[in-house]
Amino acid sequence: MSAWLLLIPILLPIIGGFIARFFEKKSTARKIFSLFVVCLTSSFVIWFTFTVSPEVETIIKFGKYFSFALKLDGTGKIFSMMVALLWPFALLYSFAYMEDERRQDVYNSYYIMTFGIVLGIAYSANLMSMYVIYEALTFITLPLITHTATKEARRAGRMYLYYSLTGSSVALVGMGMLVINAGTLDFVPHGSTTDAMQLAYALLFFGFGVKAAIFPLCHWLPAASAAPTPTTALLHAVAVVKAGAFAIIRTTYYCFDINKLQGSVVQGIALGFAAFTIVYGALKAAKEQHFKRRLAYSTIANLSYILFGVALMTKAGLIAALIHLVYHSITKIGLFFACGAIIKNSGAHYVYELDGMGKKMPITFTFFTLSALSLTGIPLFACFVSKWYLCTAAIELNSFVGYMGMAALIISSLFTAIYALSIPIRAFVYKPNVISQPIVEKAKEPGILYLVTIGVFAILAVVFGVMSTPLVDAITSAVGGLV
Amino acid sequence: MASLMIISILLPLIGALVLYFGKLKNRNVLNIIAFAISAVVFVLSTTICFTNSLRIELFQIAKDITVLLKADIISKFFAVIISCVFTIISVFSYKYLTIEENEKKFHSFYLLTLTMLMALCYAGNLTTMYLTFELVTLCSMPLVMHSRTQESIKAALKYLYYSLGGAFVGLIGIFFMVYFSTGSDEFVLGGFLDTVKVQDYSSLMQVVIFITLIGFGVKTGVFPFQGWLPTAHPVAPSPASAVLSGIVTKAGVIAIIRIVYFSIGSAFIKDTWVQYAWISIILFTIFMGSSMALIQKNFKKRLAYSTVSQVSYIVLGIAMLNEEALSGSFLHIASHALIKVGLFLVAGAIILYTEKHEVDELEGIGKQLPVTMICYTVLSLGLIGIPPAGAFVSKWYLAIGSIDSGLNVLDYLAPAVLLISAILTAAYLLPIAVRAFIVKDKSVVLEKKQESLYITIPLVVLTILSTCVGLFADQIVEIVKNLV
Repeated sequence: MSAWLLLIPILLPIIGGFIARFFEKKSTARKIFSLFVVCLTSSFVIWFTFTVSPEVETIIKFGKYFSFALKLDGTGKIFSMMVALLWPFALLYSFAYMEDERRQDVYNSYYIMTFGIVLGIAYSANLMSMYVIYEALTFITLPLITHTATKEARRAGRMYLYYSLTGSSVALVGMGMLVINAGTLDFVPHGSTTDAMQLAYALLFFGFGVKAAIFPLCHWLPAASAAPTPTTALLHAVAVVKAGAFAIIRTTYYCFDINKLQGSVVQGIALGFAAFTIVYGALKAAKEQHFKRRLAYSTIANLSYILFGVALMTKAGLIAALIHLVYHSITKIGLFFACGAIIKNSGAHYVYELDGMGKKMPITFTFFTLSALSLTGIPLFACFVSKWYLCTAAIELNSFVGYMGMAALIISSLFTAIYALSIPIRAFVYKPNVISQPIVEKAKEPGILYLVTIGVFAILAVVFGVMSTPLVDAITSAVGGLV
Repeated sequence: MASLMIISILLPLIGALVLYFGKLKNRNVLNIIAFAISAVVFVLSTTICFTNSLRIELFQIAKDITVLLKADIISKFFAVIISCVFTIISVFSYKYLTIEENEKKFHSFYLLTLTMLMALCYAGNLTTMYLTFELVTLCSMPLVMHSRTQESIKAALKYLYYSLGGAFVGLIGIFFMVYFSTGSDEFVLGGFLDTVKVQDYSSLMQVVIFITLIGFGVKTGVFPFQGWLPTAHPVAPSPASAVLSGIVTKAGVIAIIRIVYFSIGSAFIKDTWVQYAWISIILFTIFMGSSMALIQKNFKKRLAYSTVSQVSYIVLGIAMLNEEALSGSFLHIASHALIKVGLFLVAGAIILYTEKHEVDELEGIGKQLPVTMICYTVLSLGLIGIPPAGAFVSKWYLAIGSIDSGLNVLDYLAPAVLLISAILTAAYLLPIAVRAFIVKDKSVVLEKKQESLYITIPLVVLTILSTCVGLFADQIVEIVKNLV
């Protein structure tokens, strides 16, 4: 099988997104067409995942160093598979959520097109290709953030743009240093560098770290919660931010030689910043009263769980990072979906406005509770497994930063319990207060489309929490030849 | 036979679900279901006692994370005590819950707590133990906030965050123990640590073990994390406070026993700074608990502080790491479970009949509730350690064990603290009994109330059982003989 085929799932949603613009704004045909395109793309991704991995194929070549090339390997398979399974559900959810919004057709087009771009990141065969698509991701998702065109949304869009562009230009410098040393930007296990290249690594880590929201480059993420919830749920909990994490995985394990970086100063810095971000995100989330921003801060903390695993630079660390990449996506998308449904069907934006709402929206809040328990890392829920692997990997490192990171994880778990579980407790146990009384009266259980999409992820969080063996095995074999 | 363990876990779980989602209206039926299920679990636990060691691997969450059930001597001991006490409390609830709303929810979370406690008893490896430990917290929390008042919700949250925080800290230790294990985290007498692997890291490991013990100790109310007990116990309905105080604190004890004797092996911390520091904290907790109990005016709060100190007796016996002290500890587990549950039920009966919460209001209560207060008196004497009560024997063993421990200073300090604490116990329990029966002001007319059999029978049974615990001293010594 040729890697040219990989262009299909990349281009299909992009072209499909264009065509979707020609449909009537409110027509059902547009929705069916969009869903068809996304499902078809997902089927391709799934098909590719289970067939033989194609060889690297150069699509376009620019001079000696740079080329646009695609390939499909284990890590790429896991990332693309995850995105492909989430996107159809997210699209269904966005239909429900955007029902009465203005310019929903435009929104829909960009929403679909982003899918292709994210798959492009998963399928890139060298750093150059990935960088180009990564930049494209920045621009294609900008309209999704600024969609409501309020002052807040425009500010969020500007922040996102500035942060991301700064990050990628920093990464570009790192890339330049890398190519001078290694002579190539191809992704090969253990990279092609001739020495540790600490500065280049630092530049790339923090450059791509902007999208992965590492402290102090994380402030765009809470601001971006001004976007419509489908954007926040899929892009700012999964696709965009995880693309940042994925880019860091790629550079760490496929461009650099981790054996040379292991124990270096830059590794200590990376681990230190990740550990600090874990605590910072969790603390800010516990303090935050705005519902969506609270979840956004929680995303900051959880993304750094992944970065921490990556920066451990061991096989166990990478496996743990990938497990958390998947499990956090499932959990957080479930939480955001529930959050969006609550906002849309009651008008509550702040946590204290949720007091006593559980009686009105029992099913939504039950699903929310399951996802929240998973996020906290309670056993029998998905994120417990990833927490387990992360901590075990941290111990194996046998160094001070490893232990410190573990302590950060534990502290963050406690704060997660506080900020995540307090929401269902407010909803189910508290009586409506003065502020929440009128909001609760308006609230009603959301429609079936909402409930199905929320429920799928809440139940997945439980299912993976009970049997993770297949996924863990798949990830282990995917990174098998790597470390 | 291993299916017996699964049944005794699944049965209350199913019962809880049926009660929660079922449309049962009749409160008699609700109560009978709760009682019947607890009783069946008790019978099952007793049956398991007479079998050989059972072991069953339930499922694998992921590589290295296995859910394993095992019935060894420790499991059997705890399972019998817990299910026995649960059965007795469920009888008491029938009458008591007439003053509470939403009985269905109470029973359903009550059975859910029983489920998780049974699972905790039968947990066969560290992972399963941690898992069930967390679930015990989550399932017993709704019992605390049953009345849904602002105060009770705050108390429940305090309980939740203290316990979760403690367990999370304990999780650090679990990660380390699993890492330094010989491949599996299944409980083995003497520990599963790989001695060669752990040798280079023994000082790190000691620090980790110390924080782990304190982390799981949060459930037992170890200083400075005792705060949740006096907050959570008074606001919960009395049967729930009884469960929390008598049983849920023992969940911490189970975890500590499992870690010390079955995961790291007692030799690992014997005579190290860990043992000294740990025992010092426990001794302080014992003293602090007793003295705080003395100054409390709220009856249930006084009992809660008493639990802080009494459960620390148990942990002290574990921490001494010798046979006598551990025998004392096991005896005290049984007697404290029975006595403290009994005392909380007395507090419940007083609230039920007279709505009195403060100690000062209890003057002459013995004239109103004679049977209840006689039980109270006998139970108090038991807790203080007057022979022939079980607690006398247990404290005797604890004192002997402490002296035998061969630890500098602590070997004499510990018996001294035990003695002082016993005096304090007498000081905070007995005056209530005395004033209950001896009224100075003769002018007050105290009417004798009709005490329901549903109240008196559980109390009398608990009183008798707690007095008889001492008779089983030999059997219990037999249990611990091989542990140390």
